[in-house]
Amino acid sequence: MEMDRSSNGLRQFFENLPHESRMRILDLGGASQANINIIALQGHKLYTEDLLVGLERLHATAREQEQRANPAARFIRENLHFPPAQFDGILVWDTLEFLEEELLPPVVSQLHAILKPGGTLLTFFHTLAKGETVHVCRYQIRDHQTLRLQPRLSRPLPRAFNNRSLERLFANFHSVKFFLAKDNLREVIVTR
Amino acid sequence: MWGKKDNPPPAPRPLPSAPPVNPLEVTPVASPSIARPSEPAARLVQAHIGKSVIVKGEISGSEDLYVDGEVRGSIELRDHSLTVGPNGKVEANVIAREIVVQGTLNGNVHAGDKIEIRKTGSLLGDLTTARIIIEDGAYFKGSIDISKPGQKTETPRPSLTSATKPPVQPSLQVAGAVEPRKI
Repeated sequence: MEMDRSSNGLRQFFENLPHESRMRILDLGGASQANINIIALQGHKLYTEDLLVGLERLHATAREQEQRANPAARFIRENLHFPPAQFDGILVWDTLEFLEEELLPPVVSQLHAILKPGGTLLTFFHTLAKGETVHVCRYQIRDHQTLRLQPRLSRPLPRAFNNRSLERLFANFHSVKFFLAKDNLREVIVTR
Repeated sequence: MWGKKDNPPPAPRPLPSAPPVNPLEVTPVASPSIARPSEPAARLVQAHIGKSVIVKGEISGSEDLYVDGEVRGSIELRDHSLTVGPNGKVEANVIAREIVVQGTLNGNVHAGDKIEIRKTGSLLGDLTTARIIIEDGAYFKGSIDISKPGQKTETPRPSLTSATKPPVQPSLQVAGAVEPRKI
């Protein structure tokens, strides 16, 4: 069921963006009409990728080929292949916590590379325990501090993150800031 | 008045059935066909590439185009619309006034007015358009650049330029190869 909720992380994301007219924003949650309306119609260039679809594609072809030669490099080449320091902001949503252990550090490293210095990244992590079922949602931006959550599927949480482990994950970035929401979601603002 | 029977409304004329596709002929590419019932009435004439046809090369023209087959190359319909039907597979850079994607389109796309990706549609490429509509379930990967009306944008210039083309007779031109598609 769709649900609207306020998001301090989203508000902070937009506040952190440089107030320039032609920013480049990357949305890793797939194409969304709502997000296009908020970002692209304001004159910014919006790039969209769906990391979870990319992950499913990786798994499907890995099964077909029965071998997985450097899946991280392939995943990055197929889904995050952008020039360095390309983006002012990246909307990662909750996609990172569903990546396998071998994919996560290289993907975070690539996000660091394609984000401009001073650029901002917004990502979410559930606060539930490993193995608990969570809704994987589409996150539609209603305004600069409100999100509409549209569940797309349910999955068991592959692992649990706490503040400490997230600080380690984003150790190469300049700063990491957390907002704990009531709906078991930790909103994380990361600045390069 | 009395006993006068109302004239029954004229029976709707059945749409002529589409001509059988002969895979050895290229006529489906340029021959205008009757628009589908779901299309706006204003677009009564549009060229139609049937699902058994593959076109490799450059397409340019001054009428709407419906692609339900395969096109590889480039498409330029500056003031007209391109519809990629549910069976359509287009691998081409496209310039058109309006683009509707129900099938698959891979390429950079410039629409003067609107791009619409229907729920069955898949578009991979960089888009420049004044408006965009993406239905739930549609797949899009690439970048979106919204061009405001009157704004000068970088229009991709495929090898087809109006200066090098003859006047629009016939209204749709294909430079390249047309071959049957195995369905």
